[in-house]
Amino acid sequence: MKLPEKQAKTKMQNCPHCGQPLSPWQMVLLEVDRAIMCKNCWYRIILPPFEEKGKKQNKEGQEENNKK
Amino acid sequence: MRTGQQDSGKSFDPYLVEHGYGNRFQGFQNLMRLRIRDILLVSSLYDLYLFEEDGRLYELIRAEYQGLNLSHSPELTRVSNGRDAVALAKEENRFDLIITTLHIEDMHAISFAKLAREEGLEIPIVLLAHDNRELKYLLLNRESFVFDKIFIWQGDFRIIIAIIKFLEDRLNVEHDTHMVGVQNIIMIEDNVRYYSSFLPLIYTEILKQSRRLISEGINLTHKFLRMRARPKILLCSNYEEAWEYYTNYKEFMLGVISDIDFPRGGVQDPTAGIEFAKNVKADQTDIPILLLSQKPENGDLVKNIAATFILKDSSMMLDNLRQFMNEYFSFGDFVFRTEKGVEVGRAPNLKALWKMLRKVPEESIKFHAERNHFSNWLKARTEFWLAHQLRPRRVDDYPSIGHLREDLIHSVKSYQTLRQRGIITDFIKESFDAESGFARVGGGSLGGKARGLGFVNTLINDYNIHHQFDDVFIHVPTAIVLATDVFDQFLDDNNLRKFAIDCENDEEITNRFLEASKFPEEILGELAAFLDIVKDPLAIRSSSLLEDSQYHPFAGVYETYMLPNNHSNPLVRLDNLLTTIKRVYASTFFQRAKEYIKVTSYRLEEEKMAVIIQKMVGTRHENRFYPDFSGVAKSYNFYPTPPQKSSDGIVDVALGLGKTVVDGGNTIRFCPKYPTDLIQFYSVEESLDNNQLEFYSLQLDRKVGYSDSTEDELLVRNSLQTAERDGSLNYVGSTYIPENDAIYDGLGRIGPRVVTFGPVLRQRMFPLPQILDLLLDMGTWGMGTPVEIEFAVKMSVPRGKPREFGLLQMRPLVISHELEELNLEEEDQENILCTSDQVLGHGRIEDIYDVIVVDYHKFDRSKTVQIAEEVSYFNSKLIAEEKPYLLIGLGRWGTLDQWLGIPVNWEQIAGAKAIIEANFKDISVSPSQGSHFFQNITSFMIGYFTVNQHIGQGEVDWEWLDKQPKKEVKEYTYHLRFENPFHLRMNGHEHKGIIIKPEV
Repeated sequence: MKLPEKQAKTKMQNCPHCGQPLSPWQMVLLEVDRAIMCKNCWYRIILPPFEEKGKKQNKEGQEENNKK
Repeated sequence: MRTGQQDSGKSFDPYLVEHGYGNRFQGFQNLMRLRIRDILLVSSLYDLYLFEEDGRLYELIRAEYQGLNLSHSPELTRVSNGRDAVALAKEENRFDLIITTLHIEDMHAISFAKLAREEGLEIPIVLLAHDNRELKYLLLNRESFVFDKIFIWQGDFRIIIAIIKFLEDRLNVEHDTHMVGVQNIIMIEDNVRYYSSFLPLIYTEILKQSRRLISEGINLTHKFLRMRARPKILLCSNYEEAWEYYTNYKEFMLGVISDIDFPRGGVQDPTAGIEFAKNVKADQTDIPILLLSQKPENGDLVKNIAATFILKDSSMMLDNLRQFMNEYFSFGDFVFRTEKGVEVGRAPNLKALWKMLRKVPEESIKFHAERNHFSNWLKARTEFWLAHQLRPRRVDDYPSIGHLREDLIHSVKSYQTLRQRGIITDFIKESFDAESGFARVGGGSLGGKARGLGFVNTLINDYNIHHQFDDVFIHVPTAIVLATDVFDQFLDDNNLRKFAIDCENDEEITNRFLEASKFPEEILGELAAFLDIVKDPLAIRSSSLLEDSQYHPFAGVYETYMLPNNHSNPLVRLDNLLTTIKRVYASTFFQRAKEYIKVTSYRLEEEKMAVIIQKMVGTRHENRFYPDFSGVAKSYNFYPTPPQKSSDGIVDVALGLGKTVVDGGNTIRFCPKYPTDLIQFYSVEESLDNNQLEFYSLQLDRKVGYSDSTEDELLVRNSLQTAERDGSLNYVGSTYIPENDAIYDGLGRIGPRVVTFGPVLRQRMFPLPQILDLLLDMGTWGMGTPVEIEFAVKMSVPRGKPREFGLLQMRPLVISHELEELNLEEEDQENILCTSDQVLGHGRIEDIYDVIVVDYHKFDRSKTVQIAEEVSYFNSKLIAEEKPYLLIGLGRWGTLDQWLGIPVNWEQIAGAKAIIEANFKDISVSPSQGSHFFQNITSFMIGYFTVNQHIGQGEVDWEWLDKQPKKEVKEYTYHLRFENPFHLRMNGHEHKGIIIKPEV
């Protein structure tokens, strides 16, 4: 399903480990909670905390291998 | 707001700070995590006697905690000697604090403290001593540092509360400060007597301030959680300790209360306090500082550093201290002053602040803004988010003070609205958000429907779903909920309970309820206040206590009414609302509800009714009001068509009000993951046959009546021509061109109109599938189970405004996940009554001996209403005999349209354990998954077989049924009873099923 324009612009769209596309809701969860588990490979995707003023967000994010 | 000052750049999780609740319902709940809950008091009996005054110390403390609205007063255990204390603390491992006096039986208090440390106890140990010579010598003893702190008993048991709060603040300051920015007060005093006397007073003032804020809490939880965000006291005894606290927490500093003479660099420094104050002021000019001294001449030194001075031993010292805190720590009212100190206004709360900001002179606004008074006052009231928003802004940032004023007013107002979003507040007219507020009125339960709505409202707000899609505003429409206590009071005040339970006539029940004259006065006032804010049409919905049950949604059992809410006289509007509320209350006792409850494990006496009063989504067209379209979406499809999977979900939509969908009328059905795969349009003929020809709207020019009818008389059916004239058909309509025998999206051509939702689903005029996909996923995640949502959409909006998606309801779906695989064995054709590959349900049913059959040969489509009544007769009889039965009929069960099937209500067939829905001649049947009827089928786990024999989808042996001896015959139906049971086998994974005839 095509992503809403807003999401397509800014969000991580695939699991960085297995490439599984994230659903729109998973992208929302990741944006707010900053961490989700990929349901395909059980990889825990963690984003850095909200950016502080004057600092750029690390778009790569941090990754933690929590493979099942 | 400042001139020339840099913001520190520190930021918080904006969602967490936003209203103290955060996205995971944590927020303020995460504050004060470390508490003193269990205290071990080591003292002689006499010391305890002194502490206790006339009562038990435990009770005194408890009463004080309650009086200050503090939760969890600590437990107190007393022992009289050191060895017992150490043994008990080690053995039970539950104490958070040890308070010891100087007089314990077996050893000196210092020895006891040393022993406790040697034994590995890391609990804080505080000495509570009397002010006498023994203490003076003790203080000179280096070994006294073994105590975490020493306090003096001065006759007030509140010192114990101060000790507890002092330790809790020390334990929690790092976490709480960085969590939401809880404020701190540094107190520097090395004299035991003075700090033992100040500390209880300061804590009492702080806790009283917190208690004042309770009245402004937006609901009970908020009120008490704000207590946790109260300012903390950081008590220090020397310069270095104080400066370390200041360095760590200076951004969160409410102020400083300090002695002047205290240790610095290991030696007593008579001007340490002055130096401390100077250094603080050099760093932040606007931090309020109070300096105390026994020496009056120190007052002159203080003048030079813009601090306040109090003489320690003056008779008014404690009063002066209290006044300072109220004025400089921003406790109490915000007092608007001019540069010259003249008071020009006062605001006791946020609402009043907002009003005063409009009125006070610009001079006063500039004065306070330059000194950060607004954000300081807000922080003292735990309004951290707003305080943090305001603080970085400088007066210089604005072209004029007028602009600054407007910005302040806008910020305060937005904050008041924002902090209520996503939570169920207590309804307060002044602060209620007319766009998205969700508030309760009265006590008791909110009922299942309202709770589900409240939950989804929270999710939408916490996860910022409102504006996920461009040009669309997703929300739960504004609502208040009359909680169940109002229902109870109404029944009791009007003596209706017994009558309503016993009466079997719905019209009579309605009449009595409408005539009931007593209604709780305070509730009437709140309803009137709500109507003053919301002047749009309203939906009045039931939200019963038993609707909480995931397994019994009570779908369609109780009534929903719509109200135009447009009379010019507010009293008439209030009367209309009250009348409608009474109708909803009456519906609790209708026969339908009573029949429904009979087949559950509940009793009618247990049922209570809350009422949701909600702004409708829609547009006014002449004297009609309706949404452009509405629907029901499920995250689980019981009848998926490949490549769709059950977990892809299914949506039923219709033009106009959602009554078309929930009553089982003609709708458009699509899967959100495959929105352009519209199976029902596989042929033009099929599309035209199943076209939605009418839609429901609320009639705005009809009067709300007092008739005893149980139906909503204000809803009317309209033709597609009306929708085209209104413009709403543009979004969902297509045109049939007979010459081409084809249907084209849009209304540009001349030809019969067909509701296909082509413009939305194919032309993507509105991101409906994407929105539903997101919300269904969100709901499934939040509820932990598949969900169903009801929604309404308003496309007709003024230029520049977003289109509106209103979420009207969300409830859990019942999905049985039996693990047993069921293989449908090969059966002799002779033994089969029915087969189907469109079966709902899973497992075996082996206890059906009775069958109610709609006679295939006598079936007349014009008589389906009568057929429904006959079925209802048999149903009541078999329920009374407690005999479940198999129901076999023609056309769609529970349809709105009597020409499509048999228009029964759920309660008319509630005793059926399995149902066969068979086609009649060439009229196919397809289950309406969006209807209330369907919901009840699934929740009661009725085996449901759909048979379209004419196209090879299953079969029913009508001939066999016809030959069986009949127990009772009606004009169009008959009842069969067998000695042996039927055998039903259903494979829910493959949606296949078989019914085997009873053995002869």
